[in-house]
Amino acid sequence: MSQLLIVEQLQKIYHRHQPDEMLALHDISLQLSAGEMVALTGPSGSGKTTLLSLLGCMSRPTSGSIQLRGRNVAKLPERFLAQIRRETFGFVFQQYNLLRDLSVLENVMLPLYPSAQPLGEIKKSAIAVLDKFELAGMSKKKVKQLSGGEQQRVAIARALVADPEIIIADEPTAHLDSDLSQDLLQILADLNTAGKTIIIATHDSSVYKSSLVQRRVALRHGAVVEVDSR
Amino acid sequence: MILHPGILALLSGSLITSAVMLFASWLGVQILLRWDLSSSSEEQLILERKTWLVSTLVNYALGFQIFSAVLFVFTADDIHRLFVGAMCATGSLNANLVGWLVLLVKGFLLFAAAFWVVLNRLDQRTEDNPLVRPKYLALVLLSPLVALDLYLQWRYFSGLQPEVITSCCGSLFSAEGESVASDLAGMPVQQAMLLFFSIVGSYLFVLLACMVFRGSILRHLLFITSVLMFFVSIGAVVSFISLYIYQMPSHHCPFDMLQSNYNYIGYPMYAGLFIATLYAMLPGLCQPLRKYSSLRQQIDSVEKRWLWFAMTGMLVFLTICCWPMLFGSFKLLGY
Repeated sequence: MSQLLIVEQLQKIYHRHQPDEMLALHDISLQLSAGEMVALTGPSGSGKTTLLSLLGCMSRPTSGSIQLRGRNVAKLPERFLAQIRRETFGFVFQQYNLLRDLSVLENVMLPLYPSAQPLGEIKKSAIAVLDKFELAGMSKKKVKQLSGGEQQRVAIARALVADPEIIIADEPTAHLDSDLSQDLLQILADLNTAGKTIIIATHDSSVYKSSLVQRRVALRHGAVVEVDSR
Repeated sequence: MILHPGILALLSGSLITSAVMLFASWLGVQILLRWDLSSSSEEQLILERKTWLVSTLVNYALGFQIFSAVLFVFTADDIHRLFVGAMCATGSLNANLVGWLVLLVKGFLLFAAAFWVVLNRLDQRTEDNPLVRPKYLALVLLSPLVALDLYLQWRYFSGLQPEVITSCCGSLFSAEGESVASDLAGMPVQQAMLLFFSIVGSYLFVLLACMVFRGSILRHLLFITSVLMFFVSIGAVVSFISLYIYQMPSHHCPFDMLQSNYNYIGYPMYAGLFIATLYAMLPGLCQPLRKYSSLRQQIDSVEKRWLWFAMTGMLVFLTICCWPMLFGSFKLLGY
C-alpha cells in the first residue's frame, strides 16, 4: 500500500504565548497507508480530536509536517486547506453537524455546491449515495425528524457524496447504542474494503477492539504511547 | 434628475462599494497588525477565512468601480438632453463645478481598481500570500478615494440644475480657447500625428521586445511608454482622430463618438486604449514583486497573456483610429 499521510514531529499548542497556553500534541510521528482503517484511541483530553483536526486539514500544527501524498499541508493557507478538505476528506462528527432545518437530501447535497457542478448532477450524486444507505425514502424529511442512528447515516452519506479518499470520523458511535455502533462500524469497514482510508477517533472499546480495525494508535497526554497493528 | 436609472445605479453602486471598502479597511488594519501566516492560532485561521471572503467582495466592488467609469460617461452623455446648450457628455460635465473632477477621480480609480484586482488574483494563486499586507494597505489608502468618488458623484448629480445654460464641446474643445482642451484642439495636425504615431510605434516596438525577451529594463520601459502612449493618445483623439471620425475639420469632442450617431464607436476605442495601457503597465508594475519566488512563477505564467491583451487592445484602438484616416473620404489637407 502506498503512503498516504506521513506525519513527522507534530506539535500543537493552543493559545500560544498566553496565560492559558496548552500543549495539546507533541512529538507525533505517524505513517498512514492508503486503504487503511486506523483507530485513534485514548481518554478524553488525550489529543485525539486535535490530531484528527490536523490530519483533516481543519487546523494547522504549531510545528512539524504533514505530508499528504507528498505535499506538506502543515503550513498551507486556509483557503488551500479548504480545497484539500473538500476534495480529499469526508468528515463524520460526533454531533453529526447536520443542518437540522434542511432536508436529508439538501444536507447531503451541501458538500458538492462549491464544486461548480450543475445542480441536477449534484442532486443525482446525493440521491445515489442516499440510495446506498437506504435513506432515499426519507430524502425529503427534515433532519430534526430523524433518530440518532438515521442522522449518523445521513452524516456518513454527506461525508461520502464528494467521493473522498479519506474518511475521518470523530467519536462516530458516541450517541449510538451498541447495535447501531456495530452497524456503523460495518458501514465504515465496507467503505474501507471499497478502498477508502478510514481514520476513527474513539474511546469506544467495541470499535477499536473490533477485528475490522487494522491498526490502533493510542494517545495519552498528547503523545503516541502505543501502536498496535493487526 | 436623481431618478435617472444610470444615476441611481451609480450612486447605489458607489454606496455599496464604499461600505465594502470601509469594512475591508477595518479588516485591513487587523491584517496589518496581526497577520502571521506561520502562526497556527485559531485567530490567524479566522483572519485567513475573512480575508478570502473580503478579498472576493472587494474584487467585485472594485470590478464595479471599473464598470462605473463607463456608466458615468454613458450617463453624462445620456442626460445631456436635459440641459440647454449641451450636445453630449461635455455639456453635462460642464453643467456644474465638480463634473470634470468626478471624471478625473473615476479615471484614476479605473486604473487603481484594475491593478488591485490583478494583484489580488496573483496573490490568491500563491500558497504564501506575500501580498496580503501590501494589498490591504492599498485598500486602506483606496477607501478614502472611493468615498470621495461617492461624495463627488452625489455633489455632481444632486447639484445639476436643468435651467442652467451650459457650454458644450464646440466651445470647450475649440482651437480658439485658452484651456488645455483648446490647446490640444489647436495643435498642428501633422505634429500631433507625428507625436502620436511615434509614441504608438515605440509602444509596439517595446511590447514586441517584451514578448521575445525577458528583462526588467524592457518591462519598465514598457510601463513608461504605455503611460506616455495613454496621455498622447487622449491628446491625439482631441487633436485629430476626432476630426476623422466626425469628418469635420473643427469638431474635436472626445465624447460625441460615444453616441449612436457615430455607432458608439468611442466605447470600443476607449476600451482598447484602456486595455492596451493597463496590460502594458502590469509587467513593469509587477517587477518589484518578482522578489517573491511564489509570485515570480505566477507572473511568469500570466505575463505573456497580459502582453497579448495589451497588443489586442492596441490593435483595436489603432484600427478604430486609423480606419477613417485610411479608408474615409475625409482628408485633412492643409491642416
